[in-house]
Amino acid sequence: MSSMPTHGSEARPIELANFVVSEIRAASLETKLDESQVERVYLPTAAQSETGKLKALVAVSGVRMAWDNRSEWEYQIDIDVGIVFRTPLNSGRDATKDYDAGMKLAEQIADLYRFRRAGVQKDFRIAGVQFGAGGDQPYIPEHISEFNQFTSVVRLTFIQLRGE
Amino acid sequence: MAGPNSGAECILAYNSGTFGSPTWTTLTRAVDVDWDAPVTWGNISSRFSLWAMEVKALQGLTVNFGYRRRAGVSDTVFTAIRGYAFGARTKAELAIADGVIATTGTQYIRATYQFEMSRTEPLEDGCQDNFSAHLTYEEDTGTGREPSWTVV
Repeated sequence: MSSMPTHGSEARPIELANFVVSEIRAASLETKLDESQVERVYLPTAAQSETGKLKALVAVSGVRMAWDNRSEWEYQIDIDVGIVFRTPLNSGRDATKDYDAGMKLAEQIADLYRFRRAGVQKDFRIAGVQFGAGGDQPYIPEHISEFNQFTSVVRLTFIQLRGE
Repeated sequence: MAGPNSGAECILAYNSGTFGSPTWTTLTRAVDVDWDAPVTWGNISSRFSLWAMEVKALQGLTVNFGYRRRAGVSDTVFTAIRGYAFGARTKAELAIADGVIATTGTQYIRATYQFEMSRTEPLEDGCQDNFSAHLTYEEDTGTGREPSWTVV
């Protein structure tokens, strides 16, 4: 497991998102991904123009701050990993296999962060891993009906204490 | 800045110097700080009046605070207060101030305490060391100390 980044010249949420991209690219997942399939984006596009390619799109989705103690603030940073796979229009029943690949990748990415002991990283620690489309839904059904696209989101919440 | 403030702007400090020449060392990583000065009341009612009347008997003073210790990081402040609380009867002074102690207008309570501690390690929240300081007796050149309320 690589060590968490120390603060460089980017904003911390961006450094964290870049770190998640590099971790997913370097992880030994059952689903083999090349670098072009994992990228950081600012605006994840709901409907992908590219078809037939499983992708993991990493974006900063939330930043919250609250006092932790008298000298430090607790930063909570949400990083969303959107797993998308848009199937060609004539896929028919083959789309199910493609969507299964999306579910598998979403589960692997969630497990990559869920099964690490919190507190291993000094500067950031994982506070939460949410899988799916909100609530109990593991994927967004509307994207399948509207775009022939499998979309699932793994939300990683990181916490860091920052003081002067 | 004068005006209502939050706990994050208050100062909790221990005296790392002497009673006569204090050096107030701030507990920068304190979390919530509460102090309580409960009073015991004696009953002085009599048949002279329908009214139940009480007299102030004794007043106590306790300070409870949490501390956010960092695993793997050397922290001289924590080492000091842990030394008072864990397996020791050390008496130490605390100042509970509503602002920076050296600033004009700041008010603080100064007293001498003995300490106890505990720790919570919740699964999904930050770990915290909890301290409880109880007012105790100490004297200097034969004179017993009492808590004092100072306005800088």
